Amino acid sequence: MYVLGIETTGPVGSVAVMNEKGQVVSRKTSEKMSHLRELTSMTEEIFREMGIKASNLGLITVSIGPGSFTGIRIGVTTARTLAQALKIPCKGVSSLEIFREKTIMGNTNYTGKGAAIIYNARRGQVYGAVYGPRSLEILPPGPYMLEDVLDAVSSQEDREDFIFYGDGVDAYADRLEGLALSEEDDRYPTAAMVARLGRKRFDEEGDDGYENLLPDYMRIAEAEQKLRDGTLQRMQEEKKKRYEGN
Amino acid sequence: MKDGKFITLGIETSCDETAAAVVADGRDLLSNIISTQIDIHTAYGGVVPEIASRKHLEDINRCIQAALDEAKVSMDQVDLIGVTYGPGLIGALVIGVAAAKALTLATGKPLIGVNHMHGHISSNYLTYSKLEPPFLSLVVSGGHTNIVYVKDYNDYEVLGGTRDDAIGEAYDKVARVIGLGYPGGPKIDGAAREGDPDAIQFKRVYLEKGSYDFSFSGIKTQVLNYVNSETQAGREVNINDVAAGFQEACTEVITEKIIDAAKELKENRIVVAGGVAANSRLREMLAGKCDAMGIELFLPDKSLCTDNAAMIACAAHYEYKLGREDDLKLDAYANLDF
Ligand SMILES: [Zn+2]
Repeated sequence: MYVLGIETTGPVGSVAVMNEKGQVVSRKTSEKMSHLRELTSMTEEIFREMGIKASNLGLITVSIGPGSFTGIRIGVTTARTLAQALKIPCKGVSSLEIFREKTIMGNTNYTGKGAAIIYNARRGQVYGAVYGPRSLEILPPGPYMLEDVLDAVSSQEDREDFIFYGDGVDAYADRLEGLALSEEDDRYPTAAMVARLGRKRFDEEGDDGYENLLPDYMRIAEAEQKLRDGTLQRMQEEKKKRYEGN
Repeated sequence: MKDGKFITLGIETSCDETAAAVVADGRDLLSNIISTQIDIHTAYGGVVPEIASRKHLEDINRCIQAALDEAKVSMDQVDLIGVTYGPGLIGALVIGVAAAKALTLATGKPLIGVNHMHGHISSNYLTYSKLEPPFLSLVVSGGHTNIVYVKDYNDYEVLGGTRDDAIGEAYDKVARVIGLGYPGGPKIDGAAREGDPDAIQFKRVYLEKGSYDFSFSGIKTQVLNYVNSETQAGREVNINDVAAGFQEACTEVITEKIIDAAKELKENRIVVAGGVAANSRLREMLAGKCDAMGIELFLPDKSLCTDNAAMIACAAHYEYKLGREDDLKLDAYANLDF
């Protein structure tokens, strides 16, 4: 069975096709935020290189976030529609959890160390997760302040044994001094990681079903937040007052 | 192909309607599925792009399936995939384009990116099965106010456009000022029917002589000033009269300009398109003027005035037949010229 992996949650997107032996052919976008333009044409290139057709795919996997909202949507929409048109199963995986493989012995990318993943969510905030050296979940994937993630790591006895991943490493470099940072080549999520975790999850849990495959934004839309907490209503009333000239 | 007919699947997600449709031989409407988000955005007083994008993703595949099912067409029988690739909200457009490209990747069917505005004009081909270019077109919507000379199915010359607000935008803003809320078009149209169009005279803005351009920001300010001064003077504002006066002024300018263009180009056919083409006063005034001038007027079926995917499928059909095809590098563009 050939598995397609799609990763579009960061500035550079990628696609990968994994065969039954776990061998992977992948491509990444040549420009930042060009997911929509490049995603499907890169996939077609991989098909050609491997001598397969879309109809040879048996599973679509995609990282559902967190990350860039637009990026996530391009990846998830593509995955949903491929699964729908090819009538095959699909599986969504967390863009944070895909780094867990680095802590699991026997994996290709096993590091023997824990993994702290931080994606920049601006103003000191991150989407993060922390996994111990033996895949133990220390901090589940979620929206946090950077401090929360740093605290989770420093509370561990073997805190030197954690490697930091994700674009938060670049964004918050000044606050990570003295910590173990991943090499740039290993820092960002890839479609190959998505395909590997997606395949595993599919074997364990089965098909998501394309209609149930949805992004995990980890945050409601800003406007919705304003509607819920009453900010929107207050703003509209103030605007109305200004317009009425009172 | 189905029953010997060329089948096009259309997809449209440029603003707040998620839509998919199936059209046979370019003109024969087999299905037209529209999932509108209007109720969701009403709570915010207008379309919220982030929320629109989220909703499009949730609805698009269901809409595609429903369009195929209702048309009794299988994906195998589809010959062409057409999708709106601009102009519109970028986060909304990418959903439709990503879905269309995935369909092409999965099935190998050809792909055409359609300009949303060409789609609006094409809605008339679905309403009038014998209508063919060339003709003069008036495009009036939330984002556009254009006078366009349609030379062929794929050849458009823009003669005039708005220099500030689009007509639909002006409607939304004025509706907000007089407390009618969102969406402004139907709300003002409804209120105007109860009002006197001559009670308040708003100035008509024609710009320089011979220009087919429009400007609607001035009339919006006039309405605002009127409401403010009446309120300050302690007089009650008759919302219906304001709506009727505003609508009359806009409609008069639009009607006069398109008739002038027809006279100058010696075109005896005017084809109207866009969401504001559903406006009752505009339809009425255009019909009256065209009748008096011996000009044939084409108004799309009201159900095809607002955003839909049938018009996109129709436009894609003709572009493809005239030799165009996009590849998998197709992208989405928020700003796309005619
Ligand atoms: Zn439109």
